[in-house]
Amino acid sequence: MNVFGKKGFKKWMPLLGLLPAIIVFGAFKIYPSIMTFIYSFTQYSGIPGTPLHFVGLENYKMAFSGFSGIGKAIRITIIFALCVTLLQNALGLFAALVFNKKTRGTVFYRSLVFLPVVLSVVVTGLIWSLLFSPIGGPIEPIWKAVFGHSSSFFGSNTLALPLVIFVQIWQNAGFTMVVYLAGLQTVPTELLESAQLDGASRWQRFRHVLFPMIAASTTVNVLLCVIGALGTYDLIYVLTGGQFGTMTLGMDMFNTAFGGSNQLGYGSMIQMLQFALVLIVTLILQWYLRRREVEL
Amino acid sequence: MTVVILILLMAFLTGCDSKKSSSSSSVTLNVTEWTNPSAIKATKKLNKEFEKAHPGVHVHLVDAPTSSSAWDNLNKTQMSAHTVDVMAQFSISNQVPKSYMKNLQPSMLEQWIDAGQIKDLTNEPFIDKYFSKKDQMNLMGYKGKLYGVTMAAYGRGGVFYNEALFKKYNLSIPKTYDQLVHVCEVFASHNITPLMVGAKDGWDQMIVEAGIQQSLPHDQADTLNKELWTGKTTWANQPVFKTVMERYQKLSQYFEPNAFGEPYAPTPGLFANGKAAMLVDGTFDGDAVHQANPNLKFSWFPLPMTDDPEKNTMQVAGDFSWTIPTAAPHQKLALEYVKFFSQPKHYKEWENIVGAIPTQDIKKLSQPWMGTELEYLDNMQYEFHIFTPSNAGDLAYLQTDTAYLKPQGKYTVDQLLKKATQQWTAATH
Repeated sequence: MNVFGKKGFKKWMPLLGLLPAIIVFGAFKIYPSIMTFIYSFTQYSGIPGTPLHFVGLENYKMAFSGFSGIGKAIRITIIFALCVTLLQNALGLFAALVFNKKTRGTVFYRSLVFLPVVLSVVVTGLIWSLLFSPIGGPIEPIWKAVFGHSSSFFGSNTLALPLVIFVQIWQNAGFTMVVYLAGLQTVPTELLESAQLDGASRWQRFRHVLFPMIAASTTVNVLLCVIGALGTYDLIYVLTGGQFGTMTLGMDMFNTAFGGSNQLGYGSMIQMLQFALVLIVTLILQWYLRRREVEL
Repeated sequence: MTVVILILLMAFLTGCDSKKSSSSSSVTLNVTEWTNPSAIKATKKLNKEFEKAHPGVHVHLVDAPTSSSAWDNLNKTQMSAHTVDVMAQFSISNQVPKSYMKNLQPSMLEQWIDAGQIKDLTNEPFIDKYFSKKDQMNLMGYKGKLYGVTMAAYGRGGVFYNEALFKKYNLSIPKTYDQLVHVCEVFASHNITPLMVGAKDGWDQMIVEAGIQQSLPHDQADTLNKELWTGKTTWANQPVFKTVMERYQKLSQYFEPNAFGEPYAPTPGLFANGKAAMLVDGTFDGDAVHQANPNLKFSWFPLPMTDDPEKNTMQVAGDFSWTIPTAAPHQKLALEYVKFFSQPKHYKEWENIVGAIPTQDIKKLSQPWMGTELEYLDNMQYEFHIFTPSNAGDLAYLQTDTAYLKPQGKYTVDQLLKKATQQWTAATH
């Protein structure tokens, strides 16, 4: 039944109602996306009054010309996304299991773990830059006592990427925990009790009862983590500026398009590569995780 | 109800606007410059004098830091909206790409000039107040015309040094590379950090730049660029580049501990408060050091990176330059503003606060640390530019490769030069 009627104004009312949202979505999502695609075939600098200068596939050819740095950026992006997704989910799930009990102080501890999520990226970056400052930072003497040598931390070619991964996880693990908590609270306690009566160990109860029951939460968390991590540039920008082996695709795109060199065309091409990477990884993961949900 | 609230809100906002307009029947001249505390202080002081000399004119100064993209974005938005009257820009300093430089885009300022968006100042009479027209053309000339007035220059690739510490250990200003190493060794032997660099932000690269600038003949800059871009000269086949990198590597052992984790911003303050004997820096930061510790006696000298004192000169580059957009809402007033700043009396006032290398004939500045800098002017050279290809790998540019060099990185000098050559060649062919 059409509640709006079939004639005149009533027929068009739903469309009119949607129009503001369509206009906003079109202006701020569709139009920029189409323009990014078009710019990726140009040498446009983004400077008003300058020509677009179409170069065909030249930007894409340059990206794969061997030493452009894009290959390295893709590799770093994948390592970053893989580590963040695995560790953040493991940590989020662990925290959710720990705080899924109604004991004294649980709400406080949940809030504590969630707290970094509400901090802005810049604040998070500054906090950890100060903590890891090699001159006067509080972590430096501890590091020296434990490892016997000091480090330049975010300025170290070997440590910068692991530290950025750590900070990204620190900031977002609380959100992952909340999604897992929501999933865990839908699991009927009877199921766990009957498994326990049947003699299932704690690990078996988790592996064969709890984990399959929160498959939907896992899917959401993994996809959000992967999409977020593949596109990350803001935190990296604050912590290292993309130096010392932390130049992800997102960071490379930002530096190229907006970081002073004003190569909006080449930057748009990197953005398209990043979009393709996110699309491919997300489609594969979604296909796998949905199939897994059904099987479970 | 919503409609009523909206109408009231609009009426309120309109009221705000009209109140602003009615209270100031004056003309507002919009000026932008990047965030440099001393330059802002100086400009604001002269703005007041300009307003006093031009009743009814209000100068609105907007600034943004260069360390993020904020400055670039401010420039772009103001130019797009045609709202800026006078705009500070970094000097062009002969950095105009040549035709053989594949895929290399000109700078933002050059693109604006090409698009006819920056006013030609070639025949403005106030240009005569500055150093020779040739010098001005070197700094803000583009395709035979002058598009800005360079108010300040700076010397890069030098160090601020703590005069008291030099005196205490009976050290004099080093004139050659070996003397510099000796000075560093003396400080290191007394557990004083010899050099502070802020390498996380690449400030240490000034050492490599100074080495390249002092080692190569400046009149051959065009030839060098052409040979690098055509593959005749490479980072690996010229001994001079190897020497420069080896010398950098040697000096890096005298940096503050974990220098690559230390950003540049706090280093003037750390140096000013005695954390190191020398600070690798450009002359533009003298005021920052002074502000951090007004009691510190310090001065500046160019890093001697060769064995020949004659070659170890101060390398000067243009810095703060006023430009006027052709779409400036108040063209005449904008021109008047730049003319006002160019008057020797006003210029000296501005320069005395900024503390940069002057571009008008000033023999003495009020800042004590500027004394020796002005002496170096007698034997200075304009910095030449090595054009680096766009979108090459991060090892292609010799001066930015320091983080990859042992002991901080994993490459020896030879390995690094080979890698840099490979990436440069791939990007230029």
